[in-house]
Amino acid sequence: MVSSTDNNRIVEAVGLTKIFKDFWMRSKAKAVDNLSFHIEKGELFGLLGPNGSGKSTTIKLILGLLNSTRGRLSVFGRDPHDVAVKKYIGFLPEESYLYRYLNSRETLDYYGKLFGLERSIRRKRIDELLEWVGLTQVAHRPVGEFSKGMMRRIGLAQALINDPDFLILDEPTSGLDPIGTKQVKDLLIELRSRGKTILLSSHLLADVEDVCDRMAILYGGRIRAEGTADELLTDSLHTLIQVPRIKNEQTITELEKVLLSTEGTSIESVKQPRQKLESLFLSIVEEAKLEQVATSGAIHGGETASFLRGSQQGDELIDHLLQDQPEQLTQEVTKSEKVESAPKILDQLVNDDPTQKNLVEEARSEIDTPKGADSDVIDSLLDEKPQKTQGDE
Amino acid sequence: MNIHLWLTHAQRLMWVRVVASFLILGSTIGTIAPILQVSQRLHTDRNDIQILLTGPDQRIVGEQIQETGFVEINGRRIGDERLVGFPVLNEKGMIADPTSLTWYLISTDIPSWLPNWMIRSLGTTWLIAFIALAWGLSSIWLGLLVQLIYATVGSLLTWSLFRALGMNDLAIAFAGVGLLAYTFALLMRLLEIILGSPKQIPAIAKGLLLEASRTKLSLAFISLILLLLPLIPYWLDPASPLRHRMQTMLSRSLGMTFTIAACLTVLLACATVAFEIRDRQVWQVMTKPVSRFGYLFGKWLGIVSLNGTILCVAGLSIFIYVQYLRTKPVASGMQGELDRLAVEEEVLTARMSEEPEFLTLTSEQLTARVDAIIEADTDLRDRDEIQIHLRRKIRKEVQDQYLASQRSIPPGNAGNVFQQTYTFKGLSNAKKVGAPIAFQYRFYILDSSEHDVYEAGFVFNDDPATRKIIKFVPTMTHVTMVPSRFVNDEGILEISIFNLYEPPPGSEGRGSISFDADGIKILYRVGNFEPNFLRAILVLWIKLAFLAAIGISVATFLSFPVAALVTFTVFASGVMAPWLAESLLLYMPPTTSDVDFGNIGMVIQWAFENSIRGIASFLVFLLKGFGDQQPTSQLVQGMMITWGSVLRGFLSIGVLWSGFAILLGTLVLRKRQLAIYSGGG
Repeated sequence: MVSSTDNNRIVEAVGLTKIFKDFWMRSKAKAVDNLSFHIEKGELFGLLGPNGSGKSTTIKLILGLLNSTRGRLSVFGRDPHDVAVKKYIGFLPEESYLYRYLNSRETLDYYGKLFGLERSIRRKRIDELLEWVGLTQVAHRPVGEFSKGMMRRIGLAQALINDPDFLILDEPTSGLDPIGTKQVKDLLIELRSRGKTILLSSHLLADVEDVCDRMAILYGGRIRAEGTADELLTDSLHTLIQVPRIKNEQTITELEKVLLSTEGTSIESVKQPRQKLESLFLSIVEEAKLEQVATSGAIHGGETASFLRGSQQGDELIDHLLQDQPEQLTQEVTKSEKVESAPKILDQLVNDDPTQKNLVEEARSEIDTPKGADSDVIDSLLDEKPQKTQGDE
Repeated sequence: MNIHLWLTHAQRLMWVRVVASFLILGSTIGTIAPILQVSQRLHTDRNDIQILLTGPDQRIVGEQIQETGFVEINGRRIGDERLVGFPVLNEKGMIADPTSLTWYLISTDIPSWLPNWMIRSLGTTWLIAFIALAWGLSSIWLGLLVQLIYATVGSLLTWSLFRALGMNDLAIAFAGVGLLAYTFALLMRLLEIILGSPKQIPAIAKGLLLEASRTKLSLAFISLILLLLPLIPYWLDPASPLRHRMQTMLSRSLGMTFTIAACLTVLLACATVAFEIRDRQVWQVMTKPVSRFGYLFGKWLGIVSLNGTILCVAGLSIFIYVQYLRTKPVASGMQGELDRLAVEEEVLTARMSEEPEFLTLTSEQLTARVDAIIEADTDLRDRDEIQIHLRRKIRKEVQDQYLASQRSIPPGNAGNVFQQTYTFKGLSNAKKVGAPIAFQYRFYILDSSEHDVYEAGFVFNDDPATRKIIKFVPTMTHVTMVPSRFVNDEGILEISIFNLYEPPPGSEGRGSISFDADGIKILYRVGNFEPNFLRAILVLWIKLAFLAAIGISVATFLSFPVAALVTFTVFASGVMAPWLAESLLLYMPPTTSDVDFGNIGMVIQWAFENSIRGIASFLVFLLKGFGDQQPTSQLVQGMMITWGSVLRGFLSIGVLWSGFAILLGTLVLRKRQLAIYSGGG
């Protein structure tokens, strides 16, 4: 990890300006205008804006691909052109500019070597990344024959080959289907949880909203708004209450009366909430996968490369499952690794010996079940009926 | 398909590799061992015969050869009946030419299946054995055994097919194409392993090798070399002397290889950088911990490695064919023997040359003559001031005329014959080697018509006993062999040239023999062809490395077509640089004092001509080193390419100028903003 003068700031820009000039040195376009922002360590920072707002230019300035006209910019406390700093950065440009004559494996191998990764580490990471992006089966096909989505996947893989401390993604979900988009978002959350810093640039608002800690909205090269999602998006003028479906219309009338008397206001609208189209799409695809419907091209479902998610094995994995993330828990239960992590318990289940059951009970009692955690998973492993714990009350 | 999969699987098995290795080893030893054994015996015999023919009993031995045609050596009779009656002894009763006689005696004992050159240089035989072994073992252990089998089988089938059709030469040619292509693939694989280090520069170099082997641009040029090389023998006129065929073969094959490789180098060097900047792959690279210098140096290293592979394959093929051509039959009789001797002594050799010393006018003598000329010329005499450059020009002309007068021998007159004596120094090495030395000359006389034949006489060291009368054709180069014993202990040889032409009445004074500054020279053997060939290849490699550096450097700021044009211009200028340097000596544009600045025409002329001179001078300064290195013509003429010249080329062209070009490119790339504006403003 590179230490910066201010340990918490990976990127710091003050008065950053970039003016493009023509051959005669006349000003042609002011792409970035007096930009001041910073990105904290371990933060997932979003850069939003319409086309031509200066997002990509800002990223290129951070990467040293452009020189600023005015202002100050530091990355890890150093000049962006410093070669040493690049060792800790992973970059996915808005288009994947890869070598068309190399296949996926060779592409990742090439970039891995540029980072000075040893052969054994490179091989392991390449296998895991290809598995994760779903390109294992086409690993030996030249990149020039890939579809746009496949290009983006391999582009993302090369951005991660060095397990970067600072990841810069310019339109990372461009060209990806919703499942791919979801995978990317999950990865970003996972990386952030590991203390990585991420700069995400996109004009797809939903992508940024779901994952970013802080965001800046650009227009005309200037920051128009900056803050956390809550700060920017919370509508402080309204209150939303979600209840199970109301069948009796009289109830709504009564509610309105209460509001009128206590708050002096009335109900503005009553409607049934909608799930996100993304959620519906994902559930349909999941269903199709379970039915084993055939598909070609990229395959989804590879788990995140181990070097990106850290080492989660054995009992540690069970502890992880018991954390307060129900959705994640549901997904991870279906993974085979979960089963492999408790071989002793499974063996004992198969034996069906009363004495063994005591051992199982002892094993179970050793597991520290936090308050509010969903213990169904453990119960399913131990093949016992769910029991009430303190947390349930 | 199944057989292919089976073979591919089998070649990965350890026991298969070990067995195949032993087979290769066994077959190589089985082939080379008898050759080495015979070569060693012949070497020993040759040394013993040489001692015998130069020892105290040489008279007796010489008489024996004249009577029987044979000589006894190491318990065996060596010789030929055709030597009976051949005058091997001179007037003093000594063996006239022991070196040639030794070689002739040994040649009668060489088995028909053994090439002569394997006896001359045992080292080369060992080298070929080692290369063959390395070639086979590399194929096995680099996992290319299957490809080797395919290439060998394919070549054998092609060879058999064409031989069955009676086209023997085509059979060899197409078999050669297959093996050449395989050897190229083998060397590329080896290179990829060598460049497999997880460091930036080797990684970029390896990336370039992959680019070269997978993109149409480079594959086209590489294929052209591999296809054309084996077909060059078809351009040889079978009716021409072996020596000419050999020289044509060397000249065309090396020339073609270098030209195609140069074109490939220029285009690949420009394309790889210019296209990566244009298509933005350079963004992906420059956002990794790769310095600008590392990027460019890696590209350069990749191209240099590729060129090395091409020259290695081409060089090997040319070398093998030269050795094959060496064994081809010559015309019968003395003409054929002279032809074969010329091949061995004038082409497949490494010679140094010495030119005669000419007297020059001292500074005082020059000044006196220049003053006399100015005094005699009324226009010059009446000038207030004679410009420096004019005086310099006149001095040069006077000196040149004085030198030219020493290179002219007047014709005979009323029975008198005129001659000039020329002194050659620095021939101690030639005397030490003991081999005959060549006196090369190219004369002009009268109209210098190629249809006329004239006579001249040579006397060596003022000794009438060495008198020799020769016939020569004007403008053509001739060679007369001179025994090395004519060189004295100080390494000096004096040759007097007599003009035996006497003009008819009414044409007195016409018919002088004249020659250029390099018109006469002594050539003597200092080494063998094989290492000389290697040095020639090295020099070509260095020149290609320079072109690569130029191409990469200019591509950092120019688009591909412009960069390629500039690099080709540099290449052409480099080839013409020596000629340009000579022309500049005679090119005298007006100086400022010669110009009337009120006359716009004169000003334009002055500016234009001086600009031309400036540009030409700069090109000569930059590229003369490149142009002076002409290894192909040196090799074809059998001239020595010294390690010193190789080192000079390496340091000046390879390190200094190539390094300068790469550094310049680095500076440009550092300043350049690689990402373009993509907004809508």
